[in-house]
Amino acid sequence: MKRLLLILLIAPFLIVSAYAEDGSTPPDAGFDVRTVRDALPEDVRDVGGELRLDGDYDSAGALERLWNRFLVQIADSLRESAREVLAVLALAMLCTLGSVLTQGQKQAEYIQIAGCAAASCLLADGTGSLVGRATAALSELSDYASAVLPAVYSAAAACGAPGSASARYAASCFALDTLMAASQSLILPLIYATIAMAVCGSIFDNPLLKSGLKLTKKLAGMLMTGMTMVFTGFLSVTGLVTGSADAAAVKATKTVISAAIPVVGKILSDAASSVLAAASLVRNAAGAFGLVAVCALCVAPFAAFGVRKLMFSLAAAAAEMTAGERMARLLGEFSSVMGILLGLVGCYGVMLLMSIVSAIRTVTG
Amino acid sequence: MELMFRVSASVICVLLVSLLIRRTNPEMAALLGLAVVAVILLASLRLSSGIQELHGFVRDKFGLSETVMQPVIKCVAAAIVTRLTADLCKDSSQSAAAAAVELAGSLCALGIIMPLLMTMLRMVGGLL
Repeated sequence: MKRLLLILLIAPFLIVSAYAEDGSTPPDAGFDVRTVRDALPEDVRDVGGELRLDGDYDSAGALERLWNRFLVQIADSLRESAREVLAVLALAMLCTLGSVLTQGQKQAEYIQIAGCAAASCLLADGTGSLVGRATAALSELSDYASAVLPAVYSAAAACGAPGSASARYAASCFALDTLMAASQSLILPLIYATIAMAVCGSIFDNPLLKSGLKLTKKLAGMLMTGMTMVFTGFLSVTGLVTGSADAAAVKATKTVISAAIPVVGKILSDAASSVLAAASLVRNAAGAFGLVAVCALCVAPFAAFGVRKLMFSLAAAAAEMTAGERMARLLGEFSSVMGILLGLVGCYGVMLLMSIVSAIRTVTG
Repeated sequence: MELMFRVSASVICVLLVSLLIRRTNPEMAALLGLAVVAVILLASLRLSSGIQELHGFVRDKFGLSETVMQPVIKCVAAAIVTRLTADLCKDSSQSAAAAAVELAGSLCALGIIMPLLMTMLRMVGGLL
């Protein structure tokens, strides 16, 4: 009895204050959504801007910074590629002069061959480093995907769509991993084979080489297009099936809470809706930031490959008028290689963007 | 332009003299032909300074290395020499010698571009 009295006497002194959470504190759904920003390289992080989870993300400013970054990258790529392309065109001009001096002779063909071999040596060096750049861009996107997708899909699951989010997350991870594996084991070797056949085809006028070249280009294109189409289809179907199930589950849970708990059931149900709304705020903010970040990551390789593709096409047209068919064909094929590299990075970027958009658009009840 | 007039004038003179002596002294006619070719080539060398300038410009401005440009230039030179020699042989009714010169010219051109081709093939091999 004495003990009980003692406890009752001491108990009032043990009471501590408790307050509701401050409204300015971002809602935390149990996952580290800040990784969406922290996983980015410093320069890309600046493009994305501040990740605000209160629904006040400056998307217009981010898009403006993205556009400016794109323009800077284009200017850099133009400077880098102009020297390379002008060197090849100068070589083409020398070959043309030589061919004019030796017109009607067998030696004119040797001059063209020498010119093509020299141009191949010049171009293949640069293209080799560009393939490395594409691989680096893919690794960067892959690293970012492993940071952004868990965050946005966790947020989507917290919004009341655990089934849909987990299914789409699994599909996205599987597709991105498959594309990464395919790019390393299939598409990159196909690109190297295309370069090799283009170089040989410009020197040795062999129909087999031409057919092989067409085949490798078509195969690479089909692989990338096929994978993107399958991924889009799978994501759509998964969303349709699991989305309805999640919506039904959320609705049923709310009804059960409202009906089963006599007085506070309705209040609890409304509170649950508020929690879901807060989670959707986090999901949308992280998703929007992720979209801008993926675009910012893709900007540099897109500018490099796009500008080079354009420059090589222009150089091919110029070479066709002056240096002859061999040189024009070689430049045209290098332009195609740039197109494949652009497609590879673009494919991965589009898949990642679709994954994030899919998480944002997850339907909840 | 001035050079072209001089070349044309000397060629016409040599041609006329050659026509005159061809029947009586064909070996002298052939030597005369050879001499005029040498003189014209020597006189034309002065004009090659423009090409050398272009070569230097391309090398300095676009960073084209000599390993890349030399084979193209050497091929042109070999082709010019082959053509002149083969035509001289044909003028002297030495078709076989002309064919041999052309064959030698082709082999020479192949030999000139071979290091470049080897570099390119090595590079292709490195890619695959």
